[in-house]
Amino acid sequence: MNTKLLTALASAGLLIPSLADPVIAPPKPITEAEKAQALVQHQTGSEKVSIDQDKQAANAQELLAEQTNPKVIALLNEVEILMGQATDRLEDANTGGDTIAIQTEIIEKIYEAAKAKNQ
Amino acid sequence: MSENHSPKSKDEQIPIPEDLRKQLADFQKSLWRIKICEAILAGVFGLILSFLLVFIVERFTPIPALFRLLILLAGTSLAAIFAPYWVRRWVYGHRREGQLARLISKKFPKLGDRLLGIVELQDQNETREALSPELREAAMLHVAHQAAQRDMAEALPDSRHQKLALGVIAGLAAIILGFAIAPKAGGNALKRWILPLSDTQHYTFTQFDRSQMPDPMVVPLGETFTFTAPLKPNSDDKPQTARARYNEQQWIEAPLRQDDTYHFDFNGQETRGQISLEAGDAALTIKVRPKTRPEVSRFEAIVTLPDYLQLPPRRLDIRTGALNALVGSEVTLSASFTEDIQSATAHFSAEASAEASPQDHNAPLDAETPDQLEEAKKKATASLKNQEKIAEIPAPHDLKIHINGARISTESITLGPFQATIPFSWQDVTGLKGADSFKVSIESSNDLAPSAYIQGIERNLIILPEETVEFDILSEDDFGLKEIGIAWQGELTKATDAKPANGQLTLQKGAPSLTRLGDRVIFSPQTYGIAPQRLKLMAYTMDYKPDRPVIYSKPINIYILTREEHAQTLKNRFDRVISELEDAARKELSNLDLNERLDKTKSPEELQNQENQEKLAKAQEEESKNAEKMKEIAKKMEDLFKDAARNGELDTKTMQEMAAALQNMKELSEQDLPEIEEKLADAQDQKSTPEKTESDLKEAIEKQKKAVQKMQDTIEKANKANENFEASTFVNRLKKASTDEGNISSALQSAFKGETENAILPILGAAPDSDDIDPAHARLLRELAKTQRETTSDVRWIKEDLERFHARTQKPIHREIYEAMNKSLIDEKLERLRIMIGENRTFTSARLSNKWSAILKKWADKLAGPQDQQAGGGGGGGGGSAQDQDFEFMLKVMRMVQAEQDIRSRTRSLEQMLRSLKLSQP
Repeated sequence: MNTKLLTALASAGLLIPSLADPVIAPPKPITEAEKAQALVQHQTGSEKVSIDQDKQAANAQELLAEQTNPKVIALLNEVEILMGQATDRLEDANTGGDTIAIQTEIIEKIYEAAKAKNQ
Repeated sequence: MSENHSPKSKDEQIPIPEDLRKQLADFQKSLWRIKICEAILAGVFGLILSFLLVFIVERFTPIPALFRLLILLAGTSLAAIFAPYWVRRWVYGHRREGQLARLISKKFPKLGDRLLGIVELQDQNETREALSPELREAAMLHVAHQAAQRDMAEALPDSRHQKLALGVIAGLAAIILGFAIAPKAGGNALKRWILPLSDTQHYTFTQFDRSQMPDPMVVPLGETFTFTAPLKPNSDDKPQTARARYNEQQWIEAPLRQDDTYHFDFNGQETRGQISLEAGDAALTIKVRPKTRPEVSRFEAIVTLPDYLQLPPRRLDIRTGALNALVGSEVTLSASFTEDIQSATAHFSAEASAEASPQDHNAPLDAETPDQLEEAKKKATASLKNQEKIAEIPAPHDLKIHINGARISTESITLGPFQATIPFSWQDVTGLKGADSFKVSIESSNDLAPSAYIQGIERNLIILPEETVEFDILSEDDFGLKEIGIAWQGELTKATDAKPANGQLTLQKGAPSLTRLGDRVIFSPQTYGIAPQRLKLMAYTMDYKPDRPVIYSKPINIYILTREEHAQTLKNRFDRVISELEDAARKELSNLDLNERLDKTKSPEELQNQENQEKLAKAQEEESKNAEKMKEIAKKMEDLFKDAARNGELDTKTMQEMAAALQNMKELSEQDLPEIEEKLADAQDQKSTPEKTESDLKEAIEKQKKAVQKMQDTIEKANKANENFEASTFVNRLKKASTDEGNISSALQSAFKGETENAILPILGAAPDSDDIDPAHARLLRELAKTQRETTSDVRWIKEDLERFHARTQKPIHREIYEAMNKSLIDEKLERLRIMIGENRTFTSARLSNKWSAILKKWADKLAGPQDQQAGGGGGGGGGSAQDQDFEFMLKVMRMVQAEQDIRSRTRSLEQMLRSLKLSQP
């Protein structure tokens, strides 16, 4: 099995480069241009996450449509609303604590929905 | 008449006859001379006597000042009191003739009376009628006549002036003799006699040098001490021995040493007292004060660190005598004592320190051209000189010490790369030295480079781009940290147009006094736009030392994979889990055989004997090990299941089978195997009857049989899931091979269009091994040929795996694809393509790789088609059982939670990036 793993890693091109250590340039003070570029990167990254968050909302909606248990439906509704809020915030590049708190609440609500379904 | 009578009567006074007057005057002169002489001689004699008294007595013992004063007063009193009295008595008291007559009458009463009578007659003042002048005259003449017949000298009182003169002469002779024999003693006695209250030391023939003997003498309390009594160089007598004693203790004798000193060793003393010292005619006492030695109550170093550290001076307690300080620091040593200090010394000596020595300067010079070599040589020489300067070790010298009461402090010492020792010695204001010298050892050290660590994460890990890794970074420094962060450098595993990732993130700003910094890192490749590649990620740290390079931690390798690559690694992990499960099943079967053999061959009674009990114990131990192993396998399976759910490429049916296998594994590890172990333990119970033991063993065997069966079912389920897994990975593998070929084609087309980075010359027509080809293109061709070789290898494996898979599953679709691959001679043609790439047949290679990319994609799509239908059948709405629907729901929830966790982590990662930007502001 180890041979298989090594073969797979080799085929994925993961073993050969590990023989050489890349050289890392020492950290240097960030210039204004780099700062602006990083801000743009943050904005773009946040938008990407908001798109994924929106996709999650769509998944939640799809899951909701399949449910019959009122409690699960109520919880998934809340999840959908919270996901919408998180998406809005991420679109505005708001990646602060409030957004993260909403995402944590989403995870908790999904777990609650899973428990309700099991009951 | 009366007027006539009065003057006449005066005229009629008859004076004493001239002869008599002269005789009386001679008598008076003799009297005065003798008595004045007596007075003077008596005064002188008194002085001589008192001096001689001092002179003689002091040859035996010194006379206290008060007694000497009394002696002097007594001596001078003869001259000061007796002489005036004597003169008053004999000179003033015998100035008149009558007084003389009375004195004469003491020797010649009759003559004296007559003389007194005529003296009175001479002064008679009666009238003429009452007194006959003639008669008076006759009487006077008569008395004068009688007096003339006498020697008046005989009427002089007894005189002692001759005796006194003799005494004075004898005294003077004695003094002269004394001065002649011992002039120093005479002079000293004279001085001490004349000035009794002066501090003139008593002269002895043996003379101790008191200036060399402290008085009072302070000695260490309770410790033996030596008393040294030196003689003066001009001491007239140098006795061979001297003796001394402490208070009333026994005398100690000591011989005279060559340096004219006597040494006396005394036992330790607790109370105050005095030493009595005697040698020859000298005797003296020295007060002794036993007291505790001055001790160090505090010893500290004030270390002023080099400026670049921006730290305030440090006050370090160095009562242990050891100080370790940074090279370049200024050190002042300061001590406090239990007593006021009179003097202290500190001797500085240093030697090269091994730790802080400059770095090896024999490093090879890094130069490629003669100019560079020359420059490198200059730099090396300058560096060497600089190092030598740094390594200069100060010559041994005494440190300047400032004394303030009971505190002392040294001058400042600049630490270089050396280790120094500074012995201190001191004595208090009473002259008592410290018990031992205090030695300070200074070890200089270099400002150590900070260290950085990454914790809480494996060194190698495989993730998808949207996944987030969380770990801690920690940095420590001996003084202060400036900042910490992470840095990463990517390396593309395939030749593509994309650039490898490269970045950094400042996470914490430090401070001069912060020696430890840490932070939680949330790193998501997608946040930084990092595409699948191999990423080397390190924590970095910086301290305040100028010119110190940035320090990096050991890197962690993050392999960011595409979904296809990820699925392939999952497949391999699944293979490994199944293999381990098979091992565990074999082991369980072997355990079962042993237990059955034991049950069949031994009677209930035999089962309880020691040998069989040991076998049962062994069986229980083996069962316990297998349960542990099963727990481990279940954990791996659970992780695999989570990762498979995250990957999302696997169909629901496969996931359901994996979940079922996982459930069985959990039951086996948590219930079935522990129950067998428990029953085997019961079979070893000493209190059990033979029948009970046999019954427990049989029960264990029954449970074991069920467990073995369950394991085999689990393996079957896992294998089935694995088959589906493998089938789905064919799609991924084909897709990956297609992507690789596509990338090769894109890279060749970019080169063809002249878009290759750093390339100047055109790629078309350039021979690969000639000077015509641009180095960037040559490198590209090498990398593309390497990628092509790897892709060819992948495709060959896919073909072989498909054949084997079909042989096992007999699914027609796999046979169909295998035959298509065989017929296309893909492996040979891809190998030929590799050679063409190497030969720089760019255009043809680009076209062919594009063609093969399309063919591989077509096969992948064809293979995926029926599987999707399969997946749809398993997970479609309403098509499956309620249990399937529940599983579908749970799987969706699980994926949703995983996706939401990933989103949250990416949000955190973005927030960390934003904060890092704020930290990076100058």
